[in-house]
Amino acid sequence: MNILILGTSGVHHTLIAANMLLDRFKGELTTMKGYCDTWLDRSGCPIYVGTDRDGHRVYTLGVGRELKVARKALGSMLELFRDSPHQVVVTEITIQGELWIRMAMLCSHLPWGRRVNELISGRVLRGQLPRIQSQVERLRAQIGLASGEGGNHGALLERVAQ
Amino acid sequence: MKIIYHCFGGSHSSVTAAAIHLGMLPTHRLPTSQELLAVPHFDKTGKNDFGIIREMGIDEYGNQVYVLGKKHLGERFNWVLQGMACLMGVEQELVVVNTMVYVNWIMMVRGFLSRRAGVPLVGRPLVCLGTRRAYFDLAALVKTVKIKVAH
Repeated sequence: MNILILGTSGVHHTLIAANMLLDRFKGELTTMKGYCDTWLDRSGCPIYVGTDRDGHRVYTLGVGRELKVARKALGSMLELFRDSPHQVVVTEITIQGELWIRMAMLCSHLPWGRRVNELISGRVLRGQLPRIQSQVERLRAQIGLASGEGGNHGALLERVAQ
Repeated sequence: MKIIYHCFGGSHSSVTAAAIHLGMLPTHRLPTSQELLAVPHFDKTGKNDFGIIREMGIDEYGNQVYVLGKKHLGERFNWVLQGMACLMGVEQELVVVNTMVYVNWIMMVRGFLSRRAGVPLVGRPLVCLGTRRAYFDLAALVKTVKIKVAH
């Protein structure tokens, strides 16, 4: 099964969630591969983060401010390719202060922008870790249910945010 | 094969391209306003339609043709859909076409009048004019897509 974690950014809170899901997150943000890499995020391709012990491949995807539209489009894709060979579970992670993250990403184009991005994002994200953790716990439960359903069809999970 | 044409609203350039693809509109001449307005989904997108992949029909080779409004998802949207297709293992069955590159300022003004200013009837002649201006570019794009799909 492939797990796609959707968010406004694929290299901030969604990346933390993916690392938490993989039991890799130790509280240090800057050591995560791809963290605050806005060029990676802007490509639009799902970012592979790792594979969990059950063999689920975990990806993140950042879609900017049009999260709702992207979510609907990916849901439509799942409907369109109902008999696809690989099962994909799409879920969404949200935090408070996403506007700050978006502003921090804009700073990336400036000199020292990456560092500014890391500083602002770090400040926002550290305060949101409990919220992300709780969403990841819910996601784990939902993945367990989706895995037990059988068949190859994907699923668009209910938003796991509070 | 499934072919998705996408643009900002999913109601003008993408619908026109899909209609050309399906033979609903001519390729050798400009369509009349009546012909354009008779195309399913043309100028009829509601705010809940954004992000929904809507079927337009099946072409002469059996390919299913769809349209989609992506709002501000921009250039990256091709990769979002292709990336999702890769995760699902169906990347060989999907072609994603961005028609935004042929959207002109007249069509943008029409979109503004319809969605922001709330006066769709005023903008209707404008959208026909704008679409007719972009028409042969869209027809050329469709021709390229058909060649790509055939191979």
